[in-house]
Amino acid sequence: MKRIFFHIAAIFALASGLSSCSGILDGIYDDAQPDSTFEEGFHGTESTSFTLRLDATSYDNWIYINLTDRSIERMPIPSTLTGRWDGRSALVYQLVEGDRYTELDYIPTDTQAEPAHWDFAIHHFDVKTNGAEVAETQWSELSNVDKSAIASLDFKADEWNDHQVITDLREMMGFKIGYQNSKVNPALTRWVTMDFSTPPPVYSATGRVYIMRLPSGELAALKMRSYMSETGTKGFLTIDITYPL
Amino acid sequence: MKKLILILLPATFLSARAAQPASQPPIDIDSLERALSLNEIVVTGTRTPKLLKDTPVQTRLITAADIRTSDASTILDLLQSELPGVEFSYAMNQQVNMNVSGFSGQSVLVLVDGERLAGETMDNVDFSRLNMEQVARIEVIKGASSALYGSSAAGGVINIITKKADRPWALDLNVRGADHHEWRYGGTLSLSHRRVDNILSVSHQRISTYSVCLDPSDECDFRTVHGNRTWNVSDKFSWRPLDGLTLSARAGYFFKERYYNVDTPDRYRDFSGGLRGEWQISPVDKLELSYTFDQYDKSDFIVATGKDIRDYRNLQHSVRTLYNRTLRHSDILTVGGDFMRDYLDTYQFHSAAKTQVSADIFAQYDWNISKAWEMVGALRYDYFSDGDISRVTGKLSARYRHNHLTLRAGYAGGFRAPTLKEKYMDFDMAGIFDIHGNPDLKSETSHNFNLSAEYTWRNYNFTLGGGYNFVDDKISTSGILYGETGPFINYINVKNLKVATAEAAIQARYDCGISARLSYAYTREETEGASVTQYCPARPHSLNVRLGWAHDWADDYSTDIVLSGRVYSSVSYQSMYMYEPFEPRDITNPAYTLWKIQLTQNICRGIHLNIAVDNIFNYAPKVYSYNAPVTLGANLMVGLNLSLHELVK
Repeated sequence: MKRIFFHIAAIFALASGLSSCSGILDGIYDDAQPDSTFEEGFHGTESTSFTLRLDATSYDNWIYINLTDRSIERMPIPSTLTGRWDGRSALVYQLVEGDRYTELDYIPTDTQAEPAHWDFAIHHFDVKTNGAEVAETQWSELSNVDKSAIASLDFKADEWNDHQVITDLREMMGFKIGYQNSKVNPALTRWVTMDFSTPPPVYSATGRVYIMRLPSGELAALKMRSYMSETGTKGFLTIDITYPL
Repeated sequence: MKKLILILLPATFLSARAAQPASQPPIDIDSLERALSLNEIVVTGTRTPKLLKDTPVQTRLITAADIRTSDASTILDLLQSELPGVEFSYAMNQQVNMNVSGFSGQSVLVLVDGERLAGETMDNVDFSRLNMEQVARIEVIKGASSALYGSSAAGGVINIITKKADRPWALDLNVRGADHHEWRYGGTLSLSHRRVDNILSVSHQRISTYSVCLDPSDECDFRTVHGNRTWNVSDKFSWRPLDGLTLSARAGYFFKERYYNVDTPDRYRDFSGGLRGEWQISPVDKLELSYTFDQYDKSDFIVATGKDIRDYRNLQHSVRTLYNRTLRHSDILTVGGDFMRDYLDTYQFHSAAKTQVSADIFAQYDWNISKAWEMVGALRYDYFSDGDISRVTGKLSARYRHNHLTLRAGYAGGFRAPTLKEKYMDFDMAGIFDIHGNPDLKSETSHNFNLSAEYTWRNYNFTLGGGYNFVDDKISTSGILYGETGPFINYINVKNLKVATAEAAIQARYDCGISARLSYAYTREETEGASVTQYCPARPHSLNVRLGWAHDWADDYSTDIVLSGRVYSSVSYQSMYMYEPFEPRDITNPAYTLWKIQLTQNICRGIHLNIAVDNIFNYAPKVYSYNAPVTLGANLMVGLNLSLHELVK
């Protein structure tokens, strides 16, 4: 009985030409470049306005950026203490309830490694600077930047924060998140936020231009053009930069 | 001698407007039957047209008038407000899950004019793609019905019957607004001329994102209800080249954009089409042949790049045939067969798209034994190419009628073949655990026994019914297991589950224009640890109440007022914490009640102005769990329906 049915079904399929159809109107969709083709690095650096592309999908390291050399270097986030403790570096596990954080565990670690020369560093969507200050602006494109208005902006320096730099999301569903106690820049870190109060996480971006004032007095303008790859994977960053401004 | 009325009792209610002055004799049978839609034709129970009062398979009917006076903007609202024991809740990612007396969306078959729908999320079809504009009525069979409909008709069948063109021209337009910037616009244009007719329905809905559970210390499952916008267009064209032969073609388009992530909204599209031929060969022979195409896609729209990236497609082609022959004594022999090709390409597979073909043949004999007795029996054979699955399912129903009492009893077999997704899924759930499919999954089977009694006395109708379901090899997901790559869950068959159900309903109609309905449903799941339903189990008790008053003030002005409510008992069950060590989590969803009042002004027969207040007692759940009603409190709705063809008359 089964064989008869299989043969009837197969004949029907061939006769009606249905067997090779995999859908109509594919033209309304776009092809996405797979994540493996994402080209990390600086692009268009002949001019002072260029693009920086980074694979910041991992939570395990900081990516240090040198604007002068146009170079990047990755350094892992320490998870253990092997030498002398600096008194601050640690992994902190928090219970997150909306705006309220309750510390569950505090694990001292080695100091975060840094290269000799760097201007700012990125961990997923978090940013820290090497002594710079950053202001969020009202502009949405680098071309809108009005240099004369920069002096009146509200610049913020980095601050230590034990509930910003996520290192461990395995217990996200229970709102128990592991963070690195680290300096972060409160202004620039706002550029993309991840809300995981009710998983799956909800992402949002300000779309604003940020002005970075380096210790030398030089200025750079940054805008997060995209925080995902063409396939929608979060953490593939495309940042438009004008430096020096 | 009092003239006792023998009328069967549907669990739905029609608020008729034919008010009678007090000096007239009590309501006569015909008008009561009309009022309760008992003379409406239904098809789902036997795949042949039967009067609701005569069908041997107990059918609940939601009529066009029910739909209009319920002010439901979606099929979900409508089913939940009209039928006891139906509840909609959220699953992960705010996707909708349905529960019909203990059976979840995966075990309830949703059809449009007898045709299946492609695509699913969390094992439920996309209810938002069902265009309310084109709905003429909804027929619901609770209990298994796989002998006629095949896979998934294990817990029930919901058949949405679409409108047909029945006059030279008709144009209906409507607009409705409610809280959270919820707007709905719709229209239907139908044209009929000699042997050709066409009906076009268009609807557009949108709602903004809004927040719930504002206190961060409350343990809510969700805090935002995500907005969306949808478009629904469908057209059906019919041609009768000869008497007795009808050829029709239909096409439909659905689009939804949901703002879960503002920068990458998810999009859902459906393209469907069909051809059908119905040939009344002779007064006693009828043949139907149809072809259906249904493609359901999901994609993500990346706002920054303007790219629309597809990551899911379910495509179903079906060919169906149905033949009815009326024999002596009005017995009917029905024979039918279907063939379907099912194609699935999803981000939840690691490998390429999967395809399977399925075929079936079934036969039903409807035996009119006598005026009092009718019996219907059916047998069906289904075959699925993937995994070489074969199933035989049967059904037997009997109806006994004596004076004003109708008794129905039946056995129906149900099954659900494992889907391609359940067999071949290989998906990483946000790095927390993997979900593995199981190619060796068996079909879930159910055996449903049901009994009901209906009685009419004077202005009242009573129904009492009960059912028992034995479910075996229920397709579900396991608890957390540990493998080489870490924790995972997989699809399994769960043995020996039972669901007991009972329903009782009373309806009344009075001369002064007042009508009332009370329906109660009881569901008890007897499981050993696992639940019959995938996500949230059924609440044991549910009660639907409806009180209506209709009055004609003048020839062209009348009013309907409807007060409706539903009451649900609390439910407790066990879930799991979604992180290591994945411990069991006890959940209790509290009891709640929601009431709505609606006022409709009917002017010049063609203008209907609706004002409704939903949740009049301002209930808001303390904790927004997946199984809690999604409401912030009282919600005002205003709507206008115009039937231009009535106005122009």
